Order: sequence, then C-alpha cells, then structure tokens
Amino acid sequence: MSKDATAGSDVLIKGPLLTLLSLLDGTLDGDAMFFSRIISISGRTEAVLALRNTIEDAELRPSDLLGLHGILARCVDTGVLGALGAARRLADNSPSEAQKA
Amino acid sequence: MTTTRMELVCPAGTPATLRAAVQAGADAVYCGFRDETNARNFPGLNFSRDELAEGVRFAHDHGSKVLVAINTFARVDDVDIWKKAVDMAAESGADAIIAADFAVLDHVARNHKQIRLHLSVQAAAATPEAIGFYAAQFGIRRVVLPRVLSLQEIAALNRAIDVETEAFVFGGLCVMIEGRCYLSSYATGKSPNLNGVCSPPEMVSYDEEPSGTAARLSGFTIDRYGRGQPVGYPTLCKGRFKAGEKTSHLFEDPVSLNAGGMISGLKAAGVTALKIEGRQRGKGYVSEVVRAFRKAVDAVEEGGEAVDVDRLLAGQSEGARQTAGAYEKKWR
Repeated sequence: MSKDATAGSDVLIKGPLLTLLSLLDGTLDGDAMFFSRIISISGRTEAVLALRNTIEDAELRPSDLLGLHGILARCVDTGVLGALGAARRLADNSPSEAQKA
Repeated sequence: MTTTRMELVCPAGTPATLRAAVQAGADAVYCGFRDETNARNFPGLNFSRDELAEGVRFAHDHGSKVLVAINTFARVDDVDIWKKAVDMAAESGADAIIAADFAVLDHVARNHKQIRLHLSVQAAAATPEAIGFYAAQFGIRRVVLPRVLSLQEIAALNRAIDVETEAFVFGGLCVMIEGRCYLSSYATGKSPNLNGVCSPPEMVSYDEEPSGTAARLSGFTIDRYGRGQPVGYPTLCKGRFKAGEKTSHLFEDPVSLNAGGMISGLKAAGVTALKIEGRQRGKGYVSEVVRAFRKAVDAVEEGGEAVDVDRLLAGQSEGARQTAGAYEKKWR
C-alpha cells in the first residue's frame, strides 16, 4: 500500500494478506500474531483492540464482506473459505514439502 | 488424589469465543460483563445481560458450565455497579460467580445463596487461614489459587482446607501478589484491580523509530524491540528498564505459563479444576489451547501420559516463550 493511501489513517495494521484474512475469520489469534511480530500495529491502540474484538465476535464470512445473501452467499463462503484453508496449508508446509505436493 | 475428573475452565471474551470454547471441549467457561466489574475491561470485549443469558443457555445445552467473573474491587461510592452485576449473573442462570471483594462476596452470600461462589485469584488467598476465613464468612466453594505456589504447597494446602482449588495451567502471568498491583495506576491512573484494565489501550502506543519499535504506556517507554524480536503485552511489569547500568526485565520476563506437563502432578495435589487464562484472546487461541488441554487432561484421567502440550502451543505464547511458573519453583 502506498504512503498516500495510509496517510491520515487512525490505525495501521500491517501483515501478510493471508494472515490478515485468517484474523478476519477467527482462524488465527491476533495477540499470537502480534507477539511473534507477524503483524504490527500503530496508531490508536484502543481502536485496533475494539475492531479486533468486534470482528472476532461478528463471525464474519466472506459473503458478509461482499454483501451477498442466499445461495450465492453460501457458494462464495464455501469457495473462499476452502481456498483460504488450502492456501494456509500450503503456506504451513516447508517449500520442499510443497514442491513434493 | 481426587477421584473425580478434573474440570477444564476456559476463557471467553465474546459470545462467539464462548461457543468456540464449549465446542473445543471446555467443562466450564468463564466470562464477564462489559464494564469495570471484571478484570478484562477492554473495548469490544465481554457480555451484555442478554448475551450472558444466551451464552449460559448454549453452554448448558452442550453440558458445560458458565462462571461469571465479577472480580475487581468495588469503589466505596459505587458498590451498586458490582451488586447489579452479581444480580444479573444470578438471573442469567450462570453456575458460579468469581469474586474477590468483600462487598461483592457478601452480596452474593446474602442474596444469592443458590449460586456457587468462587474466590478469585485477585483475592490472593494462599493460606488455610485466609481460605478458611472466606469459607466461614461467605461460603466460598472454590478458591482460584494465586500463581505463587509450588505443587508441594498446593498439596499441603488441599489437605488443610475444605473447599475446591482451581489452578492456572496456561496463559499470561501476573506479578506476584495478585490484586495488589499499582504499576498501571502509577503510569495511567487506572488499575487492573479497580478498573479492570492494566495498560488501558488508549494510553498504549507503538512507534516506529530508528532504534526499533518503541512500546509506550502513557508516555513511559516500556521497551524497544528490534525487527522480528518477539514481544509481550505492553505492561510495565513486562517492560525492560535500566537499573544499576544494566538493562533487563526488572519485574518479570514476558513469558507465558504452560503447566501442560504438570496435569498429573496437579491432580495428585488434589486440584479440582484447571484454568486457562486469556479472556482478551481470540477464537483461534481459545480453540487451539482448549483442544490441546482437553486432550491432555483426558489422557491423564485415563491413566496415560499427558500429550506434548508445550510443543503444540508454543506459537500462542506471550514473548514466544513458556514457563512452568511457580509450580516447580526452587526459590522462596
């Protein structure tokens, strides 16, 4: 993200995209990612905490973020969550393991 | 040696986390109201009256209990806030109230005799005399043990008292003598014991500087971290300070408790319940830690060896390091 895009923001949460998406769906714990410096935060800490706790409780699914309902929502959720899970498994494996697969 | 199975007591900061804890195998879940009456008073966290009632229904439907932490110390001119929290917890059908303050304990004992009363770790009751006093005065049924006792001391304590004991097995550690920490109030005017927040987040900042990331609390620099160096919570007790020309973690290291290898020892010492810290943590933490401890406790209860919890949970730990804390202490 460019500097212009983040200028004037109250908070900034930085980390790999896959990690940030996994925080959204509650698969990963924000504190654990913070302790190990995989994500970093700056700006108003209370806003970061409020956002994280609210997202945690909201149990958001991809369709919520896209404003979808009904069958389409279920299809999108299944597809995106499945793809995310696969991406995580791939990322968790060592490069050599991934190559073997 | 206790003959009943040990109870696994797990944290929930939100209704969604409560459901995650129950589904991961918690025997009991503890939580608090969205105000200063509990020691995890952080933005976006905790339960409303209705959410608690719904959480209790969900837990009971799945065979789990709910314990409500009303464990901060009441202010002299605002005791009603704490009393109201007790009344709401009792109305919700929760199984127990966890409290430390005399006024709160007294209100439960006088007005809600049907609900179990657990003495919070915040009361720092670690002797048969202190625990006996709380039992005689308020009828407490369980004491959450301060994290300063060795296994031998817990065994001796259990032989001398008539109430159940609950011991922390995983999560953040506190500086000694819980319930009496003034570090946060010194820097911010707010304390964990009275307001339910140590290091209130609105006073925490992380600043990128040439020498690394500086963590600050109310203007005090707590620590500076190099790139990739593991960090802990931004509390004064876990900061690095210079004293006598030496920079070190003066109060305590930023490490997490992990007593996963001591479950059979705690059972042999007569402990009734094992507690996981972390109502401020997310579903990812709660699900993973509860599942690992469920497996470990079940293995011990079946007479086998505990699974390797240490290895499983290293990634969840503050400062990315773990300790068995005081349970195997050799110091006095």
